[in-house]
Amino acid sequence: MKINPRLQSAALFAGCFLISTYGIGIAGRLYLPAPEVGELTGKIPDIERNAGAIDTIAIGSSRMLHAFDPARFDRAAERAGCTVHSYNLGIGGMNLIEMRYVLRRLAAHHPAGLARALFDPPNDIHVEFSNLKSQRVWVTTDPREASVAVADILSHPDPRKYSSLFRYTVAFLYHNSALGLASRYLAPSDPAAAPSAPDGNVALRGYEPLDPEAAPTVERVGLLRDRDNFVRTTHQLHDEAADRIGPAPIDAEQETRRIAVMRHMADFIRTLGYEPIVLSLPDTYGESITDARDLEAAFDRPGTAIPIVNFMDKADAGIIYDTASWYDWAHLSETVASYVSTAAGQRLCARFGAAFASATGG
Amino acid sequence: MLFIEPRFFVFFAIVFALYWSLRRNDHRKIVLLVASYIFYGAWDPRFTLLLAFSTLFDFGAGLAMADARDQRRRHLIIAISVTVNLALLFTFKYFNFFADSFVGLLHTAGIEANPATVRLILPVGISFYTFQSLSYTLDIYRGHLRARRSLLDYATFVGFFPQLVAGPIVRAYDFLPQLDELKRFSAVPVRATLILFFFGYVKKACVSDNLAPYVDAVFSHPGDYTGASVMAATVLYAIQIYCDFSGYTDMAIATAKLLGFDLTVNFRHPYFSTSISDFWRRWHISLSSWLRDYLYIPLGGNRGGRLAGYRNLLITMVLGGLWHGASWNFVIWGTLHGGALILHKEYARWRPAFLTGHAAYQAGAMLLTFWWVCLAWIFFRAASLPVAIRLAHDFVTLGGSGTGDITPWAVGVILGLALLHGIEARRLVSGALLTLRRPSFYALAGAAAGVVLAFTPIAYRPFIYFQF
Repeated sequence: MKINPRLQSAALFAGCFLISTYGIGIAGRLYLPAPEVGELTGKIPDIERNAGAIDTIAIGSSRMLHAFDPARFDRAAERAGCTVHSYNLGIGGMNLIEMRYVLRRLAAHHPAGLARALFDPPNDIHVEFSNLKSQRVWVTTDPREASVAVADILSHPDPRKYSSLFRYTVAFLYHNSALGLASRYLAPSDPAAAPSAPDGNVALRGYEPLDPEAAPTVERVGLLRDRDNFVRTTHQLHDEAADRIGPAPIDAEQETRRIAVMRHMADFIRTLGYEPIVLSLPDTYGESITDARDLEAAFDRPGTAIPIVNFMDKADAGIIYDTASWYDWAHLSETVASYVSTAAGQRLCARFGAAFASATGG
Repeated sequence: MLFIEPRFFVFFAIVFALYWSLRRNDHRKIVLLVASYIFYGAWDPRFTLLLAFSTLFDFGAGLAMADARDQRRRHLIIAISVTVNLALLFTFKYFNFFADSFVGLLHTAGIEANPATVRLILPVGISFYTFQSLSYTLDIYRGHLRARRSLLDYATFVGFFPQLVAGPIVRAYDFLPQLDELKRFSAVPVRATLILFFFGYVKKACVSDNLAPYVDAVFSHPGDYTGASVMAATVLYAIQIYCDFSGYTDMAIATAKLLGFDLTVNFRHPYFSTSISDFWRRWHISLSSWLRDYLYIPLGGNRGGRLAGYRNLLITMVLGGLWHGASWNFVIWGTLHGGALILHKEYARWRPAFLTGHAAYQAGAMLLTFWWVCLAWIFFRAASLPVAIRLAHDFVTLGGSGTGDITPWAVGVILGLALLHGIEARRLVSGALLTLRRPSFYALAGAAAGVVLAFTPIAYRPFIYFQF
């Protein structure tokens, strides 16, 4: 069969282009030194400056950033008999792959004395095309993390995961092509992009409280607008939490996948030399397995030994799902953040006292 | 929509397929016109109204002139056409500048005045299509061209997307006849055209856009760098703007060629010029020839004697500077070039003839020309006049006050690029590529496209000349 020469040329061009662009792109990502993504690693120098004085980090998305107050956590643990020095490594919008990236970068600096990482199961991986070119999406599409990312996306219970998978695939193809690979290294270092923590973060050890009296964020405006719906949801979540019943759409298979992802994360933290502790913070979306199930049964048992502090406990439901506790649909107000930080310190020390205290070296 | 963006490639693939699949010329022109308005509207859909107005107005002016019974009427129509076109340009391009300058003048005189509150957005490419449209009516007025009766033809000429936003400025008598013939794809030299597009892409995306951050760093904080770094950054800017603009032009010419159209050449290795006159025969040729034909010659050219000729030359160059933008920096840029042209013409009168053929003289003349062009580029690029003066001082004296140093790598980059430019000026690379067998050529092209993608920064920079 004779092939049309134009078609043959087009096919040759396309084939060689794909081999070339993805060959260069993936090889570059695997073998070239990864550039610093200041937006994610901005707090690491602060931890380094305090190396020896920090033994516990709390890592997660904005839910962690705005909910974990290291000063209160440390004080509560101390009162319970454990000396701890913690730091909030929460970053707004952080997903699982970004969390692994930050932890890997942190571990590369070997901060002395760092012993454990409290982690909140992070945001689902959902790439917005408006941010496609961002450095953070570049991190998220690391080819070494592809299987972890896909497992994370598929472990989410809602149907949006298929859209997330499509978006992730597009972003993966974009960032693993050769595009921008060499020019990234040719660019002059930008002093403005140098990692640095804001002054307020230094004093608060990474914690960023949310002040309901300050100018509201877009999300808070949303909560204030949908007040009735929000009150209904929190009441419903309160009842579910108290009864420990799972939200409707979660099935057993989904639950297994989600728990596997969290376990995998805990194992990863262990490989870096830190003790993982799941600090499961509440949200009001009611779509995550971690909101309502008995996570202690899944994690905190002999053999797996992944300690967990779960704020979906009967004892907390009254406080957590009080409508006044929320700054917006996803974030706790400062008062409840204080409660969460204090309770976490107390409970960890009470449950794992010896291990907790001995690891601090304090 | 930039020529280097993926969405342009998708857009062009659709236009290309649609255009060549049609058998009737009118249908093809409709495709080109619609595509051009989509392309232009991608910046801001409101701009298309301005383009449509400019098109309709000059099309009407052309018809009115063709139907005018006497010369007085023709004179009146061309006066209206020139006034309206320049008023459009003035309104969108120079209003902010003159308003600010007026407020500044009042302030100097001790009178407080608020700056104009209406800030106008500059529609991309307005200087290019206004000049193109203006040349159409001027050519009809001068009897060099017959008015087009087909609005479709005229609108396609003004809006033709490959050259709409940054030229080359096409003359109606060059382009309109091309719309009359039904093109055959077999007549398109595909391989040479792809090579031209590829080289244009490399110049813009891989050279210009990667040099830009270094130039930006020095030009925004000149006090932080040594004098040698200022000089290196200025030379890098000369390379950046050449690669940016000529890269765009190469891609524009190639895109047009893939649709069967020929656009005028805009650059002929200008940095190899041995005099400033030579430079203006090689740099932005479509603009310099436009200014010559529609400004310098109507002003009288050199017909009124040497001094009158120099005066006309200076006026042309200053207005040519102002064409780029409303800023005193562009006025100085134009004056520097105009002054150098006058000096060179005077010098050429006294220069011993034997010198010109001498290789060392040629090399010296080339270096001196390049040095002067770079000095002028400082005023073209700097954000303000005080910054430009400071940079020019450091460039001339090599006496910068800072410690920042970009010379170690800049020298290597400059020499490397000069070598590549010299090689390609002799067509050594493109010539070799044209001799390859078809499968080898397309396989190599695919692989090379992957490589150049690696040198393309993720954040696209608009072409420098889009702002003009």
